Amino acid sequence: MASPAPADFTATLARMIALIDTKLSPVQREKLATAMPTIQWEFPDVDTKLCLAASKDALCVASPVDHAPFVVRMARSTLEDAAFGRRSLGAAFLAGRIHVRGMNPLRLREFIMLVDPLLESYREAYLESASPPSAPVS
Amino acid sequence: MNPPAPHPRLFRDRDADPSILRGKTIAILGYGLLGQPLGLNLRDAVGTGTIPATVIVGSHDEPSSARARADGFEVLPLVEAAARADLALMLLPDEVQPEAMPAIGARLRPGSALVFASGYALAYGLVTPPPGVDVLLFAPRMGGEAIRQRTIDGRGYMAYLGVEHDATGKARDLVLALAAAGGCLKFGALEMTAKQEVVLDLFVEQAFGPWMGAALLSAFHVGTEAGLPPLGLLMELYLSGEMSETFAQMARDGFLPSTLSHGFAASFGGMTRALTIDREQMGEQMRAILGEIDSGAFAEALQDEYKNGYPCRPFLDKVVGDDDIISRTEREFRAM
Repeated sequence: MASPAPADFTATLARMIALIDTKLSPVQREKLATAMPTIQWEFPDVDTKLCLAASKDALCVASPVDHAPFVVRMARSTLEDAAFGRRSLGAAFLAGRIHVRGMNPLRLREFIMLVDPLLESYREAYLESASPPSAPVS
Repeated sequence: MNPPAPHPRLFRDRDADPSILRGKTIAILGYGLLGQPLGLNLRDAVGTGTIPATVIVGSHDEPSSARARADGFEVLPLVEAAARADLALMLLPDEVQPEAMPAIGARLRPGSALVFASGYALAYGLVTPPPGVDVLLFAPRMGGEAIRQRTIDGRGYMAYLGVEHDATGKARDLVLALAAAGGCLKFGALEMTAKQEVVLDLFVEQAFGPWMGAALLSAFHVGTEAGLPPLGLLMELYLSGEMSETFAQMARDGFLPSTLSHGFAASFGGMTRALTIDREQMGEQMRAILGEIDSGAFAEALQDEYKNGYPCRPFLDKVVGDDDIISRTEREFRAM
């Protein structure tokens, strides 16, 4: 399965965040916003950073910053392997392929709540981006 | 820098008189990782012979009850066992104790003793034992299997003990008798408060344990990625038993002397590399962890996890249960 071109990867991530937003309940969104209002996702192998900003009303994409308080760093392939079931995030974590900096471990529950919607949303966003545009109806 | 805290008092068999347990009923409340070995140890020590006492089990779940019955114990519901007890050993999981305590406490008889094997619930004010009972701490520092085996071998095991509330005036004698009968005083027990016990326990679990685990995982994955044989790496790290022998040697000969006993190449290489580790960062993280344990923030998170039905557990179980290369390598070795 070919990955989206690097330029499209950021757009795929942004779409992923929009899709996550549709999968969280208002209560979940508020919990996430309280526990971790921003999560910066970094993919150094493709030189991509994206910040997820959570408020009680919505999740949205924010500009990445240099010293983000909470950072999750991994290779793009790690995310894609997990999203498509080739290798779980747990196995990637054990293998040292996911680096988490700045998370309050006592708020792990809020982060875990995000994991399944995130993988599912990335998969959907990826497949959307890989699909050719529909032919115009004549 | 604060001066080191003074050594706690160390108790051994000579300090205890297990005969004061004669005729008493000891209830093991919770027949799990700790309940089973302590129940068996106590029954062996005082169930027959010169100090006849009765050991019963209180259990609230069928698998534990079945295990206790198979071991030959009389098994009662938790509160019924508490009502019969002269000494009730609270051996339910830490986070479960606050919910179970009101019903158990209401059935304890004045003058009886309630014994905690962990200081957690007491230290964070999560339980309120009735005022008329002795409140004791007897906290083994070993896993259940080792407790039982080391008692059978006659080696004993380390424990912490203490008196949190002395309603009868005899609480110290009672906890020492219990520790002796439970098999630990052949090795020794240090006197601790509940708060000291739980902070020590959680701090080493959460500050030291993860660094050790992370170092092991990193060494394995860096080595395998560089082409070293996975099985060889696991042998070096723990499978051969060399590492556990090293820890045993630290306990026997001393931490620093043990570092010199593997030859000059090992101490030269190990010491020079240790100098490059960022201990400032490590210390900073450990101080933050200690702060959260001491303040009760960790206890609050654990209670929240329990009250919400353990939402983190599936994720943590999945991390551990994943078919990682380490687990595969171990399986392949065992099949050889």
